[in-house]
Amino acid sequence: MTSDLVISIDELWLKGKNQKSYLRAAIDHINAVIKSYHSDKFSQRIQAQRIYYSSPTPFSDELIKSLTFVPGLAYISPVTVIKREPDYSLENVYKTILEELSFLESTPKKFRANVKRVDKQFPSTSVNLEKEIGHRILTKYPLAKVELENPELRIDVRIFGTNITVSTQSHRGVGGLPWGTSGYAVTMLSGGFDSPVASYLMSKRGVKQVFVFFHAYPFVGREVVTKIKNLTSVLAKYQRQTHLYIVPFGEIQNLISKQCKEEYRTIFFRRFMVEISNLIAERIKANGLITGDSLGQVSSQTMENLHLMDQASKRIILRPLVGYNKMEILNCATAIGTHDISIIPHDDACSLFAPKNPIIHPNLDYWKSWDSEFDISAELNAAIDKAETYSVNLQGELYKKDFFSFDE
Amino acid sequence: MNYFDHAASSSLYPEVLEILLKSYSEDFANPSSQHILGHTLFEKIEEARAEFLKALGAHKDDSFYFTSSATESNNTVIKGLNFDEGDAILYSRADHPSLTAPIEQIASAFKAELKEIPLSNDGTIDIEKFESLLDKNIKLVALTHVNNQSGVIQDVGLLSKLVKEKTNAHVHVDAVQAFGKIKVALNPHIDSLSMTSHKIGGPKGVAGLFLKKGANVNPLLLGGGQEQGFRSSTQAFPLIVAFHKAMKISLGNLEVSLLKTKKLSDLIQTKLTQSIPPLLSPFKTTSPYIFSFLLPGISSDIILRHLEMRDVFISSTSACSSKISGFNPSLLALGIPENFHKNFLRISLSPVTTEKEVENLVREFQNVWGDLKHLKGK
Repeated sequence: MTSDLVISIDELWLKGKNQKSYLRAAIDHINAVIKSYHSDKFSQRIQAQRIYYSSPTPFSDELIKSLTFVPGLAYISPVTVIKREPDYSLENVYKTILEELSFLESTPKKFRANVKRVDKQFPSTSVNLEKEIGHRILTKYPLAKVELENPELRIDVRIFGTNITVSTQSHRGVGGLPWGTSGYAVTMLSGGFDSPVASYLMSKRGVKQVFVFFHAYPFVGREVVTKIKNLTSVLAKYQRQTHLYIVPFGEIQNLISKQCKEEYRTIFFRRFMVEISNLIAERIKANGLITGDSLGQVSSQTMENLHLMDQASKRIILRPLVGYNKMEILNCATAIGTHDISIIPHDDACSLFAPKNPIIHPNLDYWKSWDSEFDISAELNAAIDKAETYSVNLQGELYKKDFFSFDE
Repeated sequence: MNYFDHAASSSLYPEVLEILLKSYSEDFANPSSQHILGHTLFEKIEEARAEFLKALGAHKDDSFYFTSSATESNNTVIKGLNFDEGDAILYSRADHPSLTAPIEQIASAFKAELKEIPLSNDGTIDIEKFESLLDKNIKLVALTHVNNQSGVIQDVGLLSKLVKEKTNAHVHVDAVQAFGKIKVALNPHIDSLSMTSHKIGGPKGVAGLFLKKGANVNPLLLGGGQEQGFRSSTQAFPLIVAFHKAMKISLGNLEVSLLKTKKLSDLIQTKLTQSIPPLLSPFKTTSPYIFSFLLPGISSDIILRHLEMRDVFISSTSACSSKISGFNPSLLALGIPENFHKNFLRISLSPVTTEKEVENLVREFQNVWGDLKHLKGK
């Protein structure tokens, strides 16, 4: 438990004139997280590209954990602040470090000390201070070892004009770019492993997202909706706020399957999912779609079939997994906590509709003939109007809405 | 609403609801209390108990206990018998899990031998083979009067007689889908029988267990000694009087309801069989309250959900086991090959089912079939 936090921003050095707006986006997101978990007042200041937070009451572990999901943050470090008042001495700093590291008594760890003098007038050099800290730790805790390259523990000391901050534990953030700084996209979720990972990767790159699921009811049951809601809860922690739309798709699927050649069923289902996602993007003013496509994983993900989806979309389709192997996707799903939700079996309409021989090299004339001969835009819009809508906060809590809604 | 899942749970008779509400508001005292409030309730429970025994045609020295569910009634008997190593149990895996699960647990705990009751292709018990399995080691024979999935009626009178001719086994009958619907003929060979309230227009949370005088069954629940010491728990007075009322209505109208339901059930069978050629109905000698069939080609869940969108409610497998995907042990025991388990559908009726509802069911079923048949065979 700590009442002071220091947060560093990832990739800020890459940004030139945009630096301010990136910093602003990150701070807004952090403040929203703090407000959502911390009821007491808090103050915030920026110094040397790091953001310092302070509150009369401690920030909870849950809050700190939650900050590690905020895109754009490199490190979240609880700190102890020692005021440079007339009677202070460096002994206070050493004492604080040794107390916070008491676990070293029984747990061996490799550490390094990092001292930065923001106040260049400070009498002792950084190197000397680092040596002294190292010496004191090694003397008190014989199990500890110095490791400069890959330390398990970083003891961070910063010396400012009015105070000194000490941090003995840092939590790595997801890094990347702050939420909303890389556009706004509609993420097409299925119940599988891939799409949640795709969403996570794009969250990391600062993409604001809403989630859409195509529910083939009455061809599939309600169980899958619970699964999608649970996945959304996990993914929403990487967003500041978001929405989930459960779009009824069973009747559209049946309608398409009655009209189209059997081997084209799957890609036509996907085409109309892409079209609906575009219609949603239009309503919410989003500029892209996100899918979990991985090149060649299934027959609808051949280069030709993916290209057809691009043609059906008025917006860019981001496919962050395009070059991922299945194992890489599964590992990432495990790391972000979606694997164990995705693995829960659910009935899907695939077995009923799946063509015996799905098309791999589609005939473009046949594909295009549907542009003029098969207009179901009314049905597609009606499906969006009927979508079950949830708003989801940054804690991953879902709130059902009475009608289609979104955040500007 | 066109409700055809009465075998899972039925709607309350309005008269039952009225009694239930009144009793919940007025009869809050504990029937075991010594004051007049408690004593009055106690006496009413005893009156109800006597009427249940009478309705079953039982001897007044036999016992009838109110329990919380038929599952509890079945468990009480199965776990309350004294088994020894080497004893055998005759049962059917086609029966409800509230019989098969405790039986399999007890058999494994006491190293008792399990023997399976052989069924013919139409779902009835193969009498000859059944007889050949009877020997002195059999301690318990569990029979189901009307199977909850197939609706097949077993001749429990004849079967229990055969058991007693060759063994000293305890004969337990699960009459959940029979009592209050078809004539349940208790005979001296039946040692115990379970039934429940919510399948006959009564509330959930109350059920019954008949126990013949001299049947050696230990209580499952010990405590305050309610239900004549056999089933401790504060008696749920409002539920008991409501169950009592539902029993009286059901038995009072039994013959009329049976005739009416038979007519409606025949109508459903004829119309659906005619208009949906792939429909298979494998079971014979069934209760008119249950019509089960297979519709190969399209998963029964999909049909069920298409029907629910049209305000028609039927069942794909027993509601208790609908979470089990695909394979269903009781369907296998009923002789249905595993690849058809996902194609099993059950339509179940009650005395309150109307002709209008049946027309709606048939029409909507035909519409759904028309909408989906192009997907058949996938």
